[in-house]
Amino acid sequence: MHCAFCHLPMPLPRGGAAAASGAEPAEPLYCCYGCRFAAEVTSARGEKGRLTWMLGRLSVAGFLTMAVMMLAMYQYRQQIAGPDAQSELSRQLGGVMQYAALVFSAPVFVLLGIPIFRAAADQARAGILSTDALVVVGVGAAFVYSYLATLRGTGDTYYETACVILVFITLGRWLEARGKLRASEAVRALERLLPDEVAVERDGAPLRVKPADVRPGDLLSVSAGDRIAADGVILRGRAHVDEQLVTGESTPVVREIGDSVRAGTLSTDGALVIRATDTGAASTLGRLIELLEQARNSRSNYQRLADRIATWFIPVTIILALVGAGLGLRRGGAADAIMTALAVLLIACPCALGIATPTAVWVALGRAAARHILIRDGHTLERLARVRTVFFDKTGTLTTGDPRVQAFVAAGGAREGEVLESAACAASGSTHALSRAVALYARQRNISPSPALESRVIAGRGVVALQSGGEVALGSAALMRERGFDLSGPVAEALARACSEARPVACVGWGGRACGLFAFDESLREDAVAALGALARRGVRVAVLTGDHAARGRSLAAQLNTEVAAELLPQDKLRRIEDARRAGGAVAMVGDGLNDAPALAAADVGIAMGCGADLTRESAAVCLAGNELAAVPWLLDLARRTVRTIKVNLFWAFAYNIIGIGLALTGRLSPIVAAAIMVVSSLLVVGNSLRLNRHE
Amino acid sequence: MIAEALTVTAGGFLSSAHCIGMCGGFAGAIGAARASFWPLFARQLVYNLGRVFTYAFLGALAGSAGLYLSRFTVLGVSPQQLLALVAGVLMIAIGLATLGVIRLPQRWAGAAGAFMAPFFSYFLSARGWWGYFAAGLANGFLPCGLVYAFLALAAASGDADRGAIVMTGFGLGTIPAMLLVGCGARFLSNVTRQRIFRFAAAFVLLLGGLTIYRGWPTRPAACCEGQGAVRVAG
Repeated sequence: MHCAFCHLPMPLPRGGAAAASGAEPAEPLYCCYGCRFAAEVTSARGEKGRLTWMLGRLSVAGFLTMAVMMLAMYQYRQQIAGPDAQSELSRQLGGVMQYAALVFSAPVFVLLGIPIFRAAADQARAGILSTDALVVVGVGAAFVYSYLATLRGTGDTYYETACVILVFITLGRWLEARGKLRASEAVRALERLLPDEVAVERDGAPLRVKPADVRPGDLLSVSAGDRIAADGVILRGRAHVDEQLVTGESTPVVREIGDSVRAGTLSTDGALVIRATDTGAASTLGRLIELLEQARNSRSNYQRLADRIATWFIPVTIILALVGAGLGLRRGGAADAIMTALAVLLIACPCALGIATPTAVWVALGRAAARHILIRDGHTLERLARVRTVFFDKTGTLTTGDPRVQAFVAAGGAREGEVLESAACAASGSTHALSRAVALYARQRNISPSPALESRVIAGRGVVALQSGGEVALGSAALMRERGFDLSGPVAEALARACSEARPVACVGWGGRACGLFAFDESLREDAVAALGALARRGVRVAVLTGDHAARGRSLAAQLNTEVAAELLPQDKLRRIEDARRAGGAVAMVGDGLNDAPALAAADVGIAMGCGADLTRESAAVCLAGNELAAVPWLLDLARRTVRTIKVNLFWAFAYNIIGIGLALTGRLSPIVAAAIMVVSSLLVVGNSLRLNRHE
Repeated sequence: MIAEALTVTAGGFLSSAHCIGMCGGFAGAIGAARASFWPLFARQLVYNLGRVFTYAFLGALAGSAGLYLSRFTVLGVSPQQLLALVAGVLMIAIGLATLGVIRLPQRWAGAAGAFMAPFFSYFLSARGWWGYFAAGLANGFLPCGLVYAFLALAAASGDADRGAIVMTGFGLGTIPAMLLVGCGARFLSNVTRQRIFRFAAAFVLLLGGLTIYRGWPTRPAACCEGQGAVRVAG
């Protein structure tokens, strides 16, 4: 359930989970008075015209409050001057001013006090308790007391206090609501990506529907520059599609007939017709939004702590207010009692406490999402901040997955250059990753092959190309055997060696003989060394866990300048993670989320690389859709900073509450000051959280 | 008292070229809807009255604060004198900044402005008499160096009434210039405008110097004679 204004999760109702899981209410429900107010202010803004009802109320009340305060200041001056200095005239004038203050402040109570009270009552019915209603009752008491004093002609009046408190609460809650709205910006930005309406063809009839109403099977027309509203397959057209949102890849890729495209991606230059397969919440964009929302709804440990405190905070506050009233009664009578109780209620308002954690977490989640990092929940951020060890998987994580020719062997009697040229010629007929690696290897040796006359790809085996000298086969050892090629000599030895190291190979052969062999390994990601170094500088132990040969592990360790544990079976990886956790601190495991899923799940924080298209990899708590390793140290910084922000927020909220309550109970805090501090402290907390938005 | 109010009004009038630069845009927004002169004039007047009301309120607040502070003296200097000094220094800084001699830090003013702008815009886009008045009320709270300088002066008066009068005077003084922009005065050439700015700057400098002179601690309290501070102290 979400607040209808700031789109943030509602506070847990007192009824517990049962009430929370109920159906969406018919009327919009707001998480706080500020959101209700802000919603009313913004709702009518679209229609040009008069001040909205709510804003009109606030400005009239503000004007009257200023007037009441000016009257009060006049009285304050009289008090300071002392009774001796007061002439009969000024005493009478003072009486007139009291009546004027009464006339001015009564509308303020009606204009601002009643909406607050009504909102509090509505929320109480929904199971959300707040001190707002009590504050309004207190303000009402102050008003009634002042009214009686005015009638009797003796005693102090507190009209200005009553008015200022109401204005401050209204203004403060409004500001707070706007801060929360900014904290939830990330999700709304995603929701706003799609156009309001899209053109579809359903059962042969053209329609314009909302993106959410697109159904599987609809034919979707996408013009150049449009966001695609559903996952689907291209039926007509060809375009460069910007898939940055889901893959983090900033260069648009070509998508043509038969290719699948994802919701939320952008056709940069061509018109497409797409048959929708997954739509709405089931589409890639829908799942992305849902994931972010789930993350926001999860309650972190700090949040649970704050919630637990909040549940007994309000009853305790009420008791303290009553105690304060009692103390005030003994100290100076009814006026003191009312003022003390009001001050306690205002200063003890748990609003800062309530938003200390969620705002920080929401901003951090949004900030990460903007960098194509999806975090499953707020709790993950806390664990990330405690991480002392980061393990990396190798394949697809530290390496690009693109193969690179590591060794090339020509058969006895064959000329190396000739073999390479024939292989490169055959390779040009295929787009297979190994073919590309061979072509690159030849290019690096300044060999430019003549084009093949004809080439034929044999699926799962390789490619056969017709060259001027005859047929050349490039492919697996199986291809050689199938064609009856002779595999012996240096090629066979190299093949055996590569097999023992579990390296992929490609053979090239013609004329009944395998003439050469390529052995491959993977190339390191460009940012691997820098990212690992950055982590080490943050005082984190970094290690690579790999199933590779010990020899390859050693060379990897030298390349990366880090610890590498090689020849590990999957269960060995799990044991390493357990060991590291016992040694202290949390453990993060970075992998591609496919073959190392158990390790990701076993770590405190599983970070999956390149899961852009597949957002629902369950084993990982963090998805790096952007595929960049530099995101890992960045994320660690963000998590540490978020937890620091939460701690500062909570410390501030507690400290000001405890000190403030002490002052208020002893009658040393005016309710006006208490209201001002309450507003300022909420704004400080929200502002402190919003600073996370600037994390670079 | 009356003489003082007149001085401040003149001060507001002569330094209101500053307002054209800062708040002129707001006045322009109020008059955005095409209207003939007199309705537009009335609209601007209502908006400006709202602004002056807020100034008066702030002045009373500052005066009360001055009254409260008048109980304390720091190293034999009364708060009134100190506040007059602050007001004078602020005015001189604004004058010099307008002349381009110094640069005032914009960061805080910018941050405060950015913080208030979205709220202010709600009022500014409002229509109807009360809407214009409310826009003026809100405008009065926008951060402004000149207002702060005169508020310091209001605080130095050490009395709510006097503070309110000082700020009302100042506010009234700024009305002609604001009416001029608000009613779409485009007849001022750039050169004329520059001259007016220079003149305003020079005047603010002069006013600042005068304020400091009057509040200078080495002078006997006689300079503040008849003012609230002395009366209250006695």
